[in-house]
Amino acid sequence: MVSGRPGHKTLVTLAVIPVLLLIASMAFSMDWPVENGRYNYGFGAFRGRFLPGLELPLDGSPVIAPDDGELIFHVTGSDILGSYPVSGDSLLVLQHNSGLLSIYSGLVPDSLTEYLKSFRKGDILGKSPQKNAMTIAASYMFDNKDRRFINPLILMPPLKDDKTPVLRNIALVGEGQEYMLDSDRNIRQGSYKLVMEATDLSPGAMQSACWEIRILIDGSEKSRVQYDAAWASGGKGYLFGSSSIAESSFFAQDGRISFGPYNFSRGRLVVTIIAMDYAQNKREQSYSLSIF
Amino acid sequence: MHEEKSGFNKLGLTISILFIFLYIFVFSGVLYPELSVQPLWRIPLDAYETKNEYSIYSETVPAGLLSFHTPKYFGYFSKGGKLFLLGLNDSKAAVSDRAFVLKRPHEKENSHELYRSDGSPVQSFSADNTFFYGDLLFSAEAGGCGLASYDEFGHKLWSYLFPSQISAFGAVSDLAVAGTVDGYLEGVGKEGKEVFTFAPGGSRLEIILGLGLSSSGKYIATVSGIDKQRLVIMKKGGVDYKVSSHMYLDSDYREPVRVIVMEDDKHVLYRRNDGIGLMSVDGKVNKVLPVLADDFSESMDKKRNISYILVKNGIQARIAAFRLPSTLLGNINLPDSCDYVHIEGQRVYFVKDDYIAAFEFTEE
Repeated sequence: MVSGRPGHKTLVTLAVIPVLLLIASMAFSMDWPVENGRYNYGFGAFRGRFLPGLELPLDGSPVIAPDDGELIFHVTGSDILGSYPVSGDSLLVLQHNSGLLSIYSGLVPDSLTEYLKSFRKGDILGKSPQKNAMTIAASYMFDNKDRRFINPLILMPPLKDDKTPVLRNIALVGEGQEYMLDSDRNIRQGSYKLVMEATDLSPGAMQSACWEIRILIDGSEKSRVQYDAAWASGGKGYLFGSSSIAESSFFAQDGRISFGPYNFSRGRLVVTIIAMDYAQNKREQSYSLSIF
Repeated sequence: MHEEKSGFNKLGLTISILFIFLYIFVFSGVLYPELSVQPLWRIPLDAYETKNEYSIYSETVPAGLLSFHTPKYFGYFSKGGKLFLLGLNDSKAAVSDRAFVLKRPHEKENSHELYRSDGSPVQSFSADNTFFYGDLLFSAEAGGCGLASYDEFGHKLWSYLFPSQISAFGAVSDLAVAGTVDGYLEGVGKEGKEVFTFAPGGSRLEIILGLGLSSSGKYIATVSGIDKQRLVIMKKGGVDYKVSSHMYLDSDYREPVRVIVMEDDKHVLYRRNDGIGLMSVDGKVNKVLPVLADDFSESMDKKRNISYILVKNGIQARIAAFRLPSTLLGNINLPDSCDYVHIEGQRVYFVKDDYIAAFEFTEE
């Protein structure tokens, strides 16, 4: 697993404790931005990069304030005072008492309730665009103290979910070769990355990432990520509060997620992948490999 | 048919010159007795037929082309009043005086084509939302948290991810600075590396509402925070920036706020409730120009030491002339709903609906 900048990981680990306390104190206390927790893509979905928030349904749904808060910024139009473009032609930011920011981009500009300075939980902030608007609307939860995006699943009420995560296109990649694990079981010894598509099709979303993925080799845990947070430091993206992985090393070019590299020496071994969503639905897949 | 069009053009030209003359001399505000305006020329855009994405109307490329872009058109004209290139702005072109970028909606996603101002194609490249800041080409990335920089050939130089969404932006040749919604300024050098991070702080709620860079990169000014809002001016010291002066403001903006470090590198202009604030970078001069503005831009006639400020309030636009620090010489109204205004020295170029016009401030 590739970690962040030297020394960064230690700081991150130390910072995890207050983050967890903050999260625990706010768990489930906020409302979903769209009724019934509907969204198109969830935290961690690959949308050209790691999505650090939710892409909202494109159906003109009212988008509501997740908690009491104060409007601190809004802009509509194609750009900010003639310079930096505004994604989806609108940006609205609320500051909540908890220290979190909720950030909304791409809501229909004319629908924004920017004339209010204070919002109560459930107040309508604006509307998501219709599908034919050719734009994307998104919402993000941002921890102002630690400067990181938080997975809304931690903060919002639990959603009913009885579907297990899906694991597809699992392969070992090394030395310019890719070995699909459902067919290639005899592999030359060497250093390999484990790549896969891991998605969770929860009822409220078209696609989301899992909550947790663990990689075990011969029963021993080699990698573990929890989709809790994403942040930037020094211009680079980092993922997962407890493991601090550089975003650039987590995604393969085709959008599959990547673990390792792991060194495989001659013999037999079992690779186990355990993927779990936030409702604790678990999928476990094991592959027995012969290394020569 | 050709003669009819030509006749129409002559009539149109006469009417438009008369219109500009009347507009400037009858409907305008009061100018300082020594300062007057001289209409220069007018280009009727609807007299030009645009083919394909853009058309070129001159065999030679005039020196010093100026760019313009409006919701309907983009293009280039000479300072002498000749239209060089005209295109329909269907794909929201990014335009600078040196180059323009057109989106290719029917090709690969996010495909763009870079052209020089003479209309010659340079390079196809993939990017999200491209934009020019002066002549510098950038694109917005990562849902409003990212910035990518490109060279004059459309090659990506670097990509930088900011911790939260960008709420203010400014750039000079070797420095790009973004203000973020969580109240930080972050500077990126020409190699795409972090140069500095600074949180103005001092307010109940932290947010960067506006920022301006001096053309030398020596000063950065920002309006930040809510309750209370602050103007903070920073000066470069070594590789970092340090606060050189600051002031609490009475404003309570929660939207982008224009902040400009003036061309003289000595004064900062910023939006405030009672006019346009003017503060010297050392904090010793602190004045209010009595001109209410939602937005504004500034150009300095250094030869005459006069600053021209384009003031925008909704659809209304006017130009106020000042002698520093705060002597109002007068102002002149521009037609409502001007799509584009550019001031260069004492010359003003503006685009309104289907024409480009120019006039000049003269001292008697």
